Amino acid sequence: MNNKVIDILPYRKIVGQNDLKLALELAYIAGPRLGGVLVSGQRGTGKSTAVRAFAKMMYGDLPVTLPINATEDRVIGGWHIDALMQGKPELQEGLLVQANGRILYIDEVNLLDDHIVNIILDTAATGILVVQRQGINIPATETRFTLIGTMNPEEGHLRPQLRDRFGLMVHITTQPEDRAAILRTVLEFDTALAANGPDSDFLQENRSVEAQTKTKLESARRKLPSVKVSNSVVQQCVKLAEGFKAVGHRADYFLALAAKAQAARVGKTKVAPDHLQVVAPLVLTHRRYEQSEYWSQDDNRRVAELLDTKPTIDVNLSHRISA
Amino acid sequence: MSKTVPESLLYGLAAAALEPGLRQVLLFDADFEVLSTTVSILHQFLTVTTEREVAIVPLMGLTQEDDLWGSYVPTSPTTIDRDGDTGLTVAWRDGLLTQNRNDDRWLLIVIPDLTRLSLATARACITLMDAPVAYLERQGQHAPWQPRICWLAACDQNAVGKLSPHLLDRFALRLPAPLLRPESSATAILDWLNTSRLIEYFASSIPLLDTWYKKFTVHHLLPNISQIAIQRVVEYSQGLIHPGVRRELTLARLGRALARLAGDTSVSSQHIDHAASIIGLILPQPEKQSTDVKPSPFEPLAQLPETELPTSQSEIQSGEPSVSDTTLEVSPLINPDELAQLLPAELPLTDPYPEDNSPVDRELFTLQLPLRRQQETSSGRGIIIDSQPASSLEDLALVPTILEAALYQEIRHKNNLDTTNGFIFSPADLRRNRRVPQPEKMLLLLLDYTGLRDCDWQQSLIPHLRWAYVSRASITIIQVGSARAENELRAQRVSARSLLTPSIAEALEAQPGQATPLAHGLEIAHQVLQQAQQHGRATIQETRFVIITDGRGNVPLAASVSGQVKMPVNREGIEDAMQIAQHIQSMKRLEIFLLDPKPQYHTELPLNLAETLGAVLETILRIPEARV
Repeated sequence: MNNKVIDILPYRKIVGQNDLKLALELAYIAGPRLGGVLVSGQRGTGKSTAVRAFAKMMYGDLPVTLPINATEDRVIGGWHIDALMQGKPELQEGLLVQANGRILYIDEVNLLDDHIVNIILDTAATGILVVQRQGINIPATETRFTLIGTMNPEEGHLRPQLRDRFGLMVHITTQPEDRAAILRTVLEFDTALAANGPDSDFLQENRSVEAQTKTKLESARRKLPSVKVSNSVVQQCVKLAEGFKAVGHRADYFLALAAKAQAARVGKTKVAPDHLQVVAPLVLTHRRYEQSEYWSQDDNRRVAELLDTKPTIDVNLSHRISA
Repeated sequence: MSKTVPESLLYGLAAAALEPGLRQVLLFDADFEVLSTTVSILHQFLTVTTEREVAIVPLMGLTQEDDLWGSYVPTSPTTIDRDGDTGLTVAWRDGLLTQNRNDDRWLLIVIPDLTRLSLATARACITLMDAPVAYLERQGQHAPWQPRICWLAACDQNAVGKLSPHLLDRFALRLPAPLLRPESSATAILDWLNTSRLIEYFASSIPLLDTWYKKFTVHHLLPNISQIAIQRVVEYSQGLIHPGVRRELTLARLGRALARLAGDTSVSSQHIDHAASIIGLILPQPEKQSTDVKPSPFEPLAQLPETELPTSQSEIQSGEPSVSDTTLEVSPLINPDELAQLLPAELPLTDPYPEDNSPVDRELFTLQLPLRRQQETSSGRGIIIDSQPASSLEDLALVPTILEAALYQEIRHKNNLDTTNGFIFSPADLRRNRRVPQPEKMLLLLLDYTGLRDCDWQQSLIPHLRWAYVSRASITIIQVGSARAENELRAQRVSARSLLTPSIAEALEAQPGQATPLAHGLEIAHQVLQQAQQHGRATIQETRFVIITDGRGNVPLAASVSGQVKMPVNREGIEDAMQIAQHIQSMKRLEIFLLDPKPQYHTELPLNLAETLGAVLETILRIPEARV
């Protein structure tokens, strides 16, 4: 990198966006099996900032990023060009392998070339990358990454095949009541960077608090295997998927895994219906038969009916409901 | 050339130079003269505020991915030290947008016309503008870097409907362009005539005044922004529906820059009001204005800038960007007498976000790569946007093929001991051009609005529109007798790349006017067909010509051409139409349908026209019948 370390607004300073934060944390706890997160939101809603800030908090660095103009050799790997020019065949790993065990972030995922999308789909689905091009023959490389894509729906939607690969989906907007707080935070961040950069008190203080969040999430991830999922909860997952006419066969699986991650996130050892209630919008939004991007109070009520519980008054859903 | 540059524009540009978050500037309705001057001023400002060399980079309409991001290019000398053989070597060369990733320069990207931006450039803008980090992942290059780019684009305010709102949103700071009055300078023209140099549009020779230099350097710390000022920013966006907070951030940052320029240590609501006036923003609810005294729109907070601008075109044009001069020595070039002529002028208040209210005039999803249409039978046509691996020799991209092969020459020569000389190609090297797909089919629709009363013409048209949609045809509508016609004696045409373009829906919904210039409509149709099928490298292979008319043309062709009717008209309009119809009938690769609205009188006219055209006749149901 040509410059000093790139600073991103700290994760804990991101105003609102509770759904997005929840989805990112669940995806981290559950790992690549959950299928990552698709973040849909109009321009300027802070999608990219939130993803970068989360990666920086959890991994100490920005996520492995696949830009929309990436060429195939950089996605799947190719020859190291400078070495090749000197007659030395050296392989250069691609982004899909570099992202192994981490986040693979695609900004503007709906603007990606179809050809590249297909490669990512195949790799994400199998966890195996096979490279056979330009004389390179690598039968199988295992790579497991958490795919996180952000998109602006004004520029087109994702193909259903790709959308379905994402375990969770969040649609975000900026609430009018949050605007002043967001403004204050961003301007404060500007000031901190201009004054002392990464050494500013603003960033230092946040780093120490974020370290606690990171520890908590790491702990939840470690405890995930020990969280129990009862047969009745699994039945409820199936019921929810059927009740929402979820497209494909993954909804019930993802509901169970996401609920398990949520239980781990809040320090429980057993999945309860309220964990399912929290994750249901994230799992079902993009799989519903009706295919509306917006989750409503009616949807909340349907979840409650299907689970035979009271509807959730979930502040996390407030901005989706109003959208 | 002396110019009167409004102080508000200067403050706007100064703010862009000071605040990294404002370095995406959109200049509305700027002609080349204004843009050139603005580039020069902004370049000077940036040179001071960044304390770095600033390179001016114009981006024109046909820029491709490799131009923007970089590519392998032949190197010189092209010699490989291998038994004295001569070969080709290639080396990576950064593109227009990546050229400063390994040094500390700044780039001032200039887009003279945002509406003519190539798809590759538009996508690059989305990727890079306002991004804290950028990623180059192309052709073996792997480089994250922090973009140091200031963007300046010009755009006709009436044309924003053609642009993606996503792209427009990236331009944080919107400024209306002033009217600059160029004055002839005989000396400058003679100077230029006596040299061989070209006109250098985006030069950077305007010297910075001491006053501005001081303004930029008076404070290093950013002024604090008060709660009242933040509240004021929010007031400006109250009741307005727009996603995100970019607009509020722009207003706040502009206010902060103004405070800094005025030497203030905190941002007040007065600064915010001043900022709003610079970009043309007004409070949506004036009755809720605070009791703060609002300054007049362009009243400076401190003293008026004693701005000096070049006095002649030659001053603007002379010299390369002062890339090596970072000592920032500034010296006024304009004498006090001339300075007196440079009175600040006001800019018209314009809506900084016209896209919120402009009619949409673009296809959906304009930032997506074009879909591949049918089989690529028209290879060799269409603008080249990239290259891609090829399995045949058709439409071969020679340079990318050679460059691809060059990468492997050393290793191939090692592995092929029999081949000691020459350049070794492999089928895997082949690259062909990737082009913007060209429509190969066209729907030409002549719509006579004056003959459509009481008939269900939309229903009859649906199969033809469906054909156009399914076959990805381009579409041209010839409007005959539309109430919206600029001249009722003339037909007019609306063309679009596809059926989904909003202007097509608008054209279909036009109301009938008084006259029926059917002959002129057919004449235009004839011209369109000739252009589409017979001119140069035309791509249209098949045209469906659909005519909806009752045949009662009452405007002779001569009247349409001259714009004047000579009475009496009689059947002249109808006869002219028949004559042109005969010409059209003789054209090839053309399928003609005439939809007959079954007029109450002269029922023979549509039949005669269909016969002359050799058209398939389809009857449109009258509305009472249709209801049954």
